[in-house]
Amino acid sequence: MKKLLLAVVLGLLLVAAFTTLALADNGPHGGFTATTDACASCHRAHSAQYGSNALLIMAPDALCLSCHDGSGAGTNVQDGVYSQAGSDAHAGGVGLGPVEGTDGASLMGGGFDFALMATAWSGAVTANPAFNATSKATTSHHNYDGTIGTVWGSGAINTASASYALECVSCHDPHGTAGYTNVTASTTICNPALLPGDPCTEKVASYRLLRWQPSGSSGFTAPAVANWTGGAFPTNGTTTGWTVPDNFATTGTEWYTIGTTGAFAAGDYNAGNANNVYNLKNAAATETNTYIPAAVNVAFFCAQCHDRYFNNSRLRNATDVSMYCGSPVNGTTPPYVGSPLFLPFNAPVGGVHPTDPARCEPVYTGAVITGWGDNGPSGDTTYMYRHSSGDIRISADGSAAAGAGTSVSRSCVACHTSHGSTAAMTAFASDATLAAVAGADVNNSTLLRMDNRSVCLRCHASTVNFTVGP
Amino acid sequence: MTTPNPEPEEITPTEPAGENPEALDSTPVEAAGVAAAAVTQPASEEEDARKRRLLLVLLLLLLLLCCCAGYFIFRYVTKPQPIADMLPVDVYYPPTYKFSFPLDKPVGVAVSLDNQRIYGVESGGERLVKMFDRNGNLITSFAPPFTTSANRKPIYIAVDSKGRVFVSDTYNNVIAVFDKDGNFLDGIIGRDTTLSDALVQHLGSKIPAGTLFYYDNINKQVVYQLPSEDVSRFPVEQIDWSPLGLRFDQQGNLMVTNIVVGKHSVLVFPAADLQGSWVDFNPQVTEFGEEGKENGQFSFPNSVVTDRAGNYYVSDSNNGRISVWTPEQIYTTFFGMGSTDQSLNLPRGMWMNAKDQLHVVDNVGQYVRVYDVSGKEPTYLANFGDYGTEEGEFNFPNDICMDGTGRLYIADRENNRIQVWSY
Repeated sequence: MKKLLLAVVLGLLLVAAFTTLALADNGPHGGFTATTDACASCHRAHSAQYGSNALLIMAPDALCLSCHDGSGAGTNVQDGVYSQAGSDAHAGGVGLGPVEGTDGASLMGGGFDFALMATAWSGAVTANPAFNATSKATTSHHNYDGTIGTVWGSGAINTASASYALECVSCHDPHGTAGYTNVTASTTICNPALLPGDPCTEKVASYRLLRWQPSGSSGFTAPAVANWTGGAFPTNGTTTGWTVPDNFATTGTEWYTIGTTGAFAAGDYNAGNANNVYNLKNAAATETNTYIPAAVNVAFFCAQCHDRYFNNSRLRNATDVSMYCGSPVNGTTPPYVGSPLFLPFNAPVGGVHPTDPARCEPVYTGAVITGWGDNGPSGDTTYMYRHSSGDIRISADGSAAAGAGTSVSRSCVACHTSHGSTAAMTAFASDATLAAVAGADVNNSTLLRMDNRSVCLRCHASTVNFTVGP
Repeated sequence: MTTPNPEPEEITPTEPAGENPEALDSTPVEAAGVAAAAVTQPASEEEDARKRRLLLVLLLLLLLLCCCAGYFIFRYVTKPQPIADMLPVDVYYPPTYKFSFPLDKPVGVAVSLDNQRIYGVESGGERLVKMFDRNGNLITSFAPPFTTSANRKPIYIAVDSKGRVFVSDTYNNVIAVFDKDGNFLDGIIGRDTTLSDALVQHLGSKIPAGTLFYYDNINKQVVYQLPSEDVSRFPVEQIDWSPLGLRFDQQGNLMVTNIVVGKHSVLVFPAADLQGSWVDFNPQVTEFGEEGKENGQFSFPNSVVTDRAGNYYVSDSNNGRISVWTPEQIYTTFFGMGSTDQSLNLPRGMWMNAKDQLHVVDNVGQYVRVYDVSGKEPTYLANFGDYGTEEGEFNFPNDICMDGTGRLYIADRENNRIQVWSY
């Protein structure tokens, strides 16, 4: 019997010796120390299953969703909501009800499987937290599981769009910037008031863990045909000299998803400092010591892959004083009569801008839109003209001075979600012919935030004689 | 049984003839035969006796074996439990893989006390709770009223002594309660609030039979529909309530992990307060732990179990460890954290068997670790399973439970199945 027991024990030990692996503790997003053993939470030096360089234990998408399905993190990207009571870290404290960061509120980027969005715009801008928001299955989403998809507007001009396999880690750096060289020690990004002792050797997680540029993209290179006169594009960790108005300081608001509050594009996606560094603040917008490096300008970020959208006919530069018709008026304060935010809702007949009639005239008369401070066509036969990417530099108040007044952003995320959208495409966008031409699925919402083309009406309602009101 | 007479020619006299006088009057052949008989008779009797004794011993052993077998059969029939728990030797015998049955990304699993119903929670597809028999055949599936896959997120599940099924819905911050057949009964929407409690206060009267009700966390409202009436709503705020993990201890107390931001903790609802009507729901809830990385703190605790002495074991998931608390809810120690071959990555669901062997599912490690917590110090016993998609291999397992017969049910999320192992 003793021999039998000994054999069993030895057998178990032998089995255990061959099946166990080096393990570790701690979460993945920063907090590393010089003696950290957190690496082995996700990586294996000799027995990785995925990634020739990442040496991941398992497929990264499943790895991320192990927590970000709500069971290990408040940010439930699967459902596009915060699934954790008391999540108010980014609430903004502006008294507008649940916003991103609050339990049960939508994620700004939407969700991959489901999303909580108010895609049916009633024309009302309201603080009602239940602003028609309902959770539905997404009608389009970025891939996150490594499957190859078309990258619209990618590649050399006048060529077919490229394809690329996206994963969570394509856009997000799970280490934040705490892990390695995205951040160099610099007083511009390390504030002694926040990080006493040796502040600039401390590394903090980047805003939303966004990378400087999507992993796998070659980084943005200004196309030769682009009429871009603004200077060099940002690259990893460098400064660009672009001045971006800090609307967060002005408005005290975080970005609001349209679906949650009805507010539109007033937020800190514009809010970087001169070094393209996010300045994430507390609810009272008074904390200035949390400088967080990230891909500040979403347009820059998105254009790492969708680069031909950036090969732009209407990018603004420092001399651009024009503005589209639906901008607020310089010196006025919302809410405007008839519309809390946008002038055109109650604009004079014809949509003439009260202080700058010429501004809206091309829209009103149907004349060819020229002379808006743009520099002509892009030269790309497929993507010849498009909206500017307004958050690069914007003086939405009509002033030539950078950063003056309240801005209204037209960053990519003003109209599109980054994870996934539930917008319904029931009109032209649902046309099977269109889908066939575009190579997209029928009813694919192309990540638009609102049903059909409601995003257009957010700014251009008056020009299409659209009756709005609660 | 008889002893055959030896053949005369085979007999070789070895004794002197003078020692047998009768042999002198006989022929040589007769004398030889007599002599042989005289010599053989005592030896044969002794042999017979020896064999009888041996036979008796064998019979006694057989009887003892039958008694032991009968004893085990009797114990197993009257009180089913793992064979390993009944064996008198203190050796751990790892379970073996049996079979699996399909679910869409299961994250929670539980079994009824009669071992006949297995409940699995889906995080993919329609996000239903599905009920199976012991062979893995689907019996039925269910979900809370007024919900679709888009606005519910069931994760963990537990079954109480009455067969009621408790499911944590993290999308709505509700512990939804069903009867054993999946009929919705009520929901806990706060430490001292249930849906029926809130609805009675709102209506000012009893809830009519057939009324449907649930909680909508997005709009912070109770949704209800009286028989033959339209759907109505009224606001109810939840306070410090974000339930995740669920388990019942041996006394029937409900243990809940709560992941309110900045306040991660464990809540214990006394069994007595979970009986009877929930209209005046006012349980004497106790709470321990807080959010953080230090001793006595949690980061997304996922599961709580107790040992025979009543000590609590909490899978402190994002801290990668098991936190241990006394029955008085005083922190004592932790284990499983570190970089050894006995430590944990992302511990999630847990189960404690009758021998105080703690089974921990490691979501990222892709195995189940077993610790013996019966002594003064927890000791690592073994682990089973490994990463993969074949039988007995795991792909992000998330939860585990054991029935009274020693069967283990493990939610194998990315392999879209519940695995069945057995001791």
